[in-house]
Order: sequence, then structure tokens, then C-alpha cells
Amino acid sequence: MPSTQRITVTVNGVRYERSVEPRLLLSDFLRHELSLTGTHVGCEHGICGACTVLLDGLATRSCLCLAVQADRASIETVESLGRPDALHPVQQAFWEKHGLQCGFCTPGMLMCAVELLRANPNPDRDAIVEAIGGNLCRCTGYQNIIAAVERAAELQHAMAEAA
Amino acid sequence: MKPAPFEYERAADLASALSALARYGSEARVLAGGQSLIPMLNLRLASAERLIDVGRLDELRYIRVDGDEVHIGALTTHNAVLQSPEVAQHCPIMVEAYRLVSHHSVRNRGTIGGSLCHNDPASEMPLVANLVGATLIARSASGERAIAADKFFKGNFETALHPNELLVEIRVPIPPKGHGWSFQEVSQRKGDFALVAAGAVLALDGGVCRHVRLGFRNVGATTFRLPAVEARIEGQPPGAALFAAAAEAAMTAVDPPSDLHADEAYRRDLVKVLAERVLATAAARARQ
Amino acid sequence: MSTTVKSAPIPPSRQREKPGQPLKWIGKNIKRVEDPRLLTGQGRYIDDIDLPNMLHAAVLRSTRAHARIKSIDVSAAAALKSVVKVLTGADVARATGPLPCFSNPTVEQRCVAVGRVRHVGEAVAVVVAESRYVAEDALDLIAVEYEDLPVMSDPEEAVKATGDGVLHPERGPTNVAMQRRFTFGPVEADFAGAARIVRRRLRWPRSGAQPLETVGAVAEYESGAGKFTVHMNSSMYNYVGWTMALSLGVPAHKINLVPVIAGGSFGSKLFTHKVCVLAASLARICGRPVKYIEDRIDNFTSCDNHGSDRIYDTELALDADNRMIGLRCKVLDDYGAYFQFGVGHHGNALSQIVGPYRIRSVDLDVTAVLTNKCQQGAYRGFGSEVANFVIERMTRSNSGVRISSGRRIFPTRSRPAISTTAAITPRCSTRRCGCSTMRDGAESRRSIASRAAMSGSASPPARSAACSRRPSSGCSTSRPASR
Repeated sequence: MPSTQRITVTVNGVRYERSVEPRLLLSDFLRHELSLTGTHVGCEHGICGACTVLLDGLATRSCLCLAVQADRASIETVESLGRPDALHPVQQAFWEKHGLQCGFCTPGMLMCAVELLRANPNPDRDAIVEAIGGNLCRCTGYQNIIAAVERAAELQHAMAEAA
Repeated sequence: MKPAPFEYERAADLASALSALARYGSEARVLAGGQSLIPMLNLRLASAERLIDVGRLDELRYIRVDGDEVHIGALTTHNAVLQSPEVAQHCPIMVEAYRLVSHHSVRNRGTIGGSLCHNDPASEMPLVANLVGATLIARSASGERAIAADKFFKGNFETALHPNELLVEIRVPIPPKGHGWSFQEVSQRKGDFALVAAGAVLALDGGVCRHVRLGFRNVGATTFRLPAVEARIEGQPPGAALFAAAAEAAMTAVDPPSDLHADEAYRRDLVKVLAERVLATAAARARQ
Repeated sequence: MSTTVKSAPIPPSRQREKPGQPLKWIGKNIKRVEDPRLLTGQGRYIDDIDLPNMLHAAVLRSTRAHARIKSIDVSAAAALKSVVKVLTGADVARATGPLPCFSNPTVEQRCVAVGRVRHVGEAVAVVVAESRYVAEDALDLIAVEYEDLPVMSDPEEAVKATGDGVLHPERGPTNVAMQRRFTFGPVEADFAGAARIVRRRLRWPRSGAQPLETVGAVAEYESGAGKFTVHMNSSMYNYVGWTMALSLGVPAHKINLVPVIAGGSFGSKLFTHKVCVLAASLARICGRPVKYIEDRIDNFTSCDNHGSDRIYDTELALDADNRMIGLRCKVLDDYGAYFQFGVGHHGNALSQIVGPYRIRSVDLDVTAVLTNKCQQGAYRGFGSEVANFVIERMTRSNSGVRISSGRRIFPTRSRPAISTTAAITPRCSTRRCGCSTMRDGAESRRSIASRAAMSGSASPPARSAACSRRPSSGCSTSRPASR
């Protein structure tokens, strides 16, 4: 029988030490081991992007990553962004621009947007499309999601100016 | 869709990776970015008794200009290559092809070495490696060997690597000044594997085409460049009629598969259309 | 000749708000109340629910399109550590009846196939284990012996099949699941007297909803009270419990359905009997809560909710003025391996069969045939979208004839060939006078602008006139003087 491996992962700023089977997917580790169910699983073979998290700051499909590969890495999930009464600007922007309907693809979209805006606070439409281009949405038709990311950039600028 | 059980070890450095490969050989698979291997494991289309994770071998992540070559460490991620100024300057066809490879988050994790070793019949980088005349450096616990691109890729999902070898570096010769290039593909959606991909590299010298390389992907398990078609173009002045004739010749020189996504006739048609386009664009760029 | 339809006079409006008055909610961009929790990852979808002592199920999918199940050897799978139960269709059927079917006579479907598989992906065995990972390991150890039967993939061939090509021989010697004809109005006379008949063969191929989240259920069984609690992402809580109860053989009040939000449905989660009946059966059999979530391949191949898949041989009868008078369709419905909604999809089509057009006679001759594919279910139009496609393709036929209707009910992009005079005169942008001619506000603005341009003025003429249609109404909306 395969042995378990001890891993240490920082998720949303909290350090976790766990023993896991090597084949445990990062998506299942986050969702069921750590009960962070905000990251969703749509296809489990890397097509839909619903499972996207940030791994060491890079957008990563968590269904295409083994938990053991995340040892000593730092993960950010949708739960790190905000709370219903204190939304992250990206979340606020999606709310305003109706960038979601069923909400299932949304956490993946949000994490892609966060990665993009950190690297490029003034993305043009092409850059936004490239950033979310690997994520599927069956509800919205994408236009509102693009508008939401544009709005998020505006909100972040406004916040930076106010600060 | 969960993978079947496997043993796992993470190599701390290149030496331990190589000794693990020497010990386990064909029972083990190498795990780099996992963007090709893990979906296949999840779907149980591939299995592994043991995974040797080389993902932490930072010593294999680099892009360096070394004399008249660009050296790319095998574990350099796709996005790092795509965003590299050195690659943009010295191997622009690779950057152009990379824009068509999958999606941003897959490129964050996937590595150039992993893609080359996986050799999916519809993947882009093996064709690029052939077009630029890359040399692949394979290392094992007992030594190192250099394998030319045209010898490296075997049938679908097969390369010339021995089970105890790890691909460590890709060496790309810097093309002469004034060369032109083009890489184009047709796929159902942007980021999908190509139904057919095409690439051309050539130089213009004294008004005629030189160092012509023309190749395709997904037109036959071991087909990359078409030397007979290249020979028709070599030494000739560029022009629409020449390229159209070459495209016709290319169309008949390939034996493309029929599958769920495209039949043989459509693939042949794509070869013809893409051949003209990449040749015309390469020639136009060579003139600049 | 079309008959005149008399309608009752439209009563005056009792609306308190005045046109143009700022309104509190209508016309405003309102944020949704559910978004904050969805945006922060606090939406509780079916796979987010983990109950204590819960087990996980996975189904073994058939690799054959049509085959008898000769044998299933589950011994190796059952012996795997952490596997609790491995069940064949026959095992499940001991305490669980067939799934609901609204056709008459019914076509029997089980949540795990019994005796025969009828499409690729159909469940042929099920494993319950401590984790989904182990359950899938056990699936790899199940050995099924199939005896292949002729595959029915072409509906026109399936209609003619006999013997082993018949998917449900217990129901009859044919794959024709239903043949019904619906006629309204003087069809025969209209076609016999038609000046022209336009004919087309139209094909609507099947599709699927592919919501980002698959169907799933988490079921518990309280053996003392004989009561189920089932969390599920169905969109139809109020009635699914009744049909589940039939399959589970319990009174409906023994099922407590807990609604769970869904990651998309588009119809395909409307009736999700198979998943919830299976999860509930397994919970009863195993004595522990069971979670069964379809994976993506389960959903593609076996969701029981593929979209419409039909062939229409259609005729449109036109009178001497090229007005549509009669519609006749022979429909072949490639339903799939079962027939859960019977005539329902076609009832939906019939509810809007002539679209916005005044066509006075209709003849719909529907044959539904069983084939070795996942069955159709509710997806988007739920059967009516095909009729819309057909009627629109018929009216846009490239036969060279400009087809028109007695009176166009909705304004369209202006088409001079359509014989309604209302398209040409400028129209009032309000309907305070109660005039029943539909108004196109945008068109009236355009026509006002173009007339203003023609008359050389930058703005509409200052002189206002009462509506030229109802001079007595006293409507004070400014309008450009007509011609």
C-alpha cells in the first residue's frame, strides 16, 4: 500500500500539517481535508478551471495538482478574498456587474482576476480575456465577467487613490 | 475521477532524481508540472506505479543565451518561456506557438520539457523543436547525451528517452539575421490542441529562400518536417505561386488521421491552407 | 380566408404611476441578494455537504452501447479494503423499483441496469466505499461479461429494427415508443387547396446542458422510522419526492428532501430521479449516509437529460397571396434508450407550434423511437425549441417565395415584403390611448429623425398633433405631423 506523505501547506495564511496519500488531489485536499469548499470541482481533468486557486501567487488548476506537490507552498483560495460584509474589490465588482448566476465557476474566475490585477492593474479587454480564457462558464456568456474585471480594476484604482 | 494509487517521491536535486530513475526505470513516471500527466491519471487513461516528482529542481529552470544558442532548462514553465525577452528575440516562432498552447493557468505549471517528453500528437512544442533544429539534452546517472529533435520524437506519446533518463535542457540555435517565421494552427477553440498546426522558418538571401523548414503537427504520428516540399522552395524566389504549389505538394505528402475532431480530408485541406499562410508570413517577415 | 377574431375592448389602465415617473425598482440595476455568499465561496453546493459516517458511491459505466449482461463478478472489488458494498442492478432492484416514467405504456428504467445495458455510460454496477478514491479503485476490479446486441444509433434504422435490435422487448416487438398524430383545423382542405407547398427536411441534433456542476445527492436513512433525508441539487423539490417514493417503495411523507443550490441546470437538474433514488437506496442498504455525485463522464453519458434530437419532414401550405395557412410535420424523435417524458416534449412544442404566425391548420405526426443513446430530458426549450426552429426555417425558406402571415403579431426588423401597413407610418411611442397596434419605440424615433432630416430641421417639428389613429382620444403626446 502506498505510504502517506507528511506535507506542510500554508492556505490563506494558515499553516497546516497533514498526512496525505500521494494521489490526493489538491482540490480534494482543500475541499474535504481543510473544509474550504469555496473552490469547486467541475470536470476533474483540467478543462473547466472552476478549481482554480493561486499557488505561490500563480493561477493553478487544483484538480491538476497533487496535494503533495503543494508541500511548502502557499495557497490562496476564494475564502482569502473577503467576507459577505467586507467584499474584496473583485468580488464587489462581480456583484455590481452580474458576473455570476449559479456561482459555480465564480471562485475560479475570481482567482484568475486577482492574479491578473496583481500583475497588471490596467488590463485591456484582451488581457482579461486571456486571463479567464481557460475558465468555462455555462451561465453568463462571459461578457459580464469581463465587465466585472474591468470594474474591479477601477475599484482598485479608486481604493489606491483614496488610501 | 480520481487517480489510482501510486508510490511517490520528490527529488530534492538532479542527482537524486537521476538515481531514482536509475533504480526504478520503467516502473516510474516523471512528474514535472503535471498538466498533461495528471489529467490522464485522473481519467485512468495512464497509470504509474511510482511518480518521481522533479518539480522542485530549480536548477533546471533557466533561459540563457550561450554563444549562438539559447539554452532552456527543461523545467522552465511555458509562461516563463512565453514571457522571456531572450526567447522573443532569438526564437520568436516559439513565442508565437506558445500563444496557442493551452491556457494561462496551465502554462503557469506546465513545463517545456514536460510537453516535449509527453509528445501528445497534437501538441505544438515538438513541431517547434523540429522547425528550429533544437537539440535535446538527456541525462542519466551514467552520463549525458544530445539528441537532435528529428531523432527525439517517436510515435504518439513516445520519445527516444530511455527509462532512466531525464530531459534536462533544450538547446535552440539562434537563427541568422533576417530569418522569417510563422506558426499557425486551426483548433476548435483557442487553447485546444491543434486539428492541424503548421510552422515555417526561412531566410531570404539574394532574393531567394534559404534554410527552408516547413512542418506540420497532427498529420501522422511521426510526421513533422516535409523535406521534399522544403526542397521545392529552397533556392527559389518567394511568391504566391511557389507557395501554392508547395502547399499542394504538402497536402499530398501527409497521411493525416481521422478522428472525432476532424477527418482526413479536412486535415489535408488544413495542411494546404496553413502551408500557404505560414510560408507567406515567414517570407514577409524575412524581408523586414 | 381567415376568420376575423373579435376581442374584448381593452379596459383603461389602473396604473397609479405615471409614465416617465422615476420608479423604485423597475428599470433599476439591482444587485442580487444571494451574490455575497456565492462570491465568498459560502454557497453550499451538493458536494460541499459532508455528513458524519458518510460513504461514497461510484458507478461502473457500460462500455457497450447495447448488450446483454451475461455475468458480473464483484468478488475482487468487494474484497478491497474500505469497500463497504458492491452491487449489481439485480441487487439494487431487490428493494428499489423502476424509475418514474410518464409515458404510457411505461418504458422500464432502473438506476443500475438489470439484464441489459442500453447505452454507453449506463450504470452496470455500483460501489460504496469509505472514499470516492477507493470506490473508483473497486470499479477497476469489477469484471463484466457482455453479449453484444445490434446497436441502434440511426433513428430511421431503429424504427425498422426487430429481434435483438429492439431495446425493450418486454414492451413490444418494436423500438417505436410512441406514435401519435395531432391535427387542428382543416388541414386536408388547406393542403388540397394550397396554391403552393414549401417542403423541407430539417434536422435538430442532440445536445446537452453540461452545467458546470453535475448532479448529486447525499442521502441518509433512519431505519427506525423508515425515513429518508435526501440533500439534492434538483430544481424540482416539490414533486421529485413523490416520484422517488414510488421507486423506493415508501409513502411520500417518509422522504424529507433538502433543497441544495445547483451549479447550473438549464433544465437538466429538473428531474434527477436516478441519482437521488440511487443514493437513497444505497443509504438504506448500507445503513450509513451515502453521497453519490456524478463525475463529468457520468454526466455526459448518463444524465438522462440530453436535448431534443429530431428529424422534421415539414410542409407549409400557402394560399394564392403567399400567406401561410397550413403546417404539416412528420416528426421522428430519436429519444434514446428510455422514454421518461413520453409525449411531454411534443406537448411543449404544440403549445407554440405556429409561433407568432397565424396559421390555421396544423398536422403533427410524431414517432418517438428508442435508440442506444442517453435519453432526452429537459434542456432549455424542453422540446419547444425545435418547433420554433422549424417554423422559422420554413418561413425563411429559400424557395424564392416571400411568405407572409395574416397579421404579424410582433414587430420585426422591417421587411417590406411583409404585408402589414403598420410598419411604414411613424408611430406613437406610448400607448396611452390604448391603441392595440404594437409600437416599436426605436423605430418611431428613427422615423422621426429621418423625417426631421428630410425636412431639413434638426429636431422634430414643433407643431404637435393628436394621434392620427385616434383623433378623438385626446392623447397629448407630441407626435410629428403625419405626412
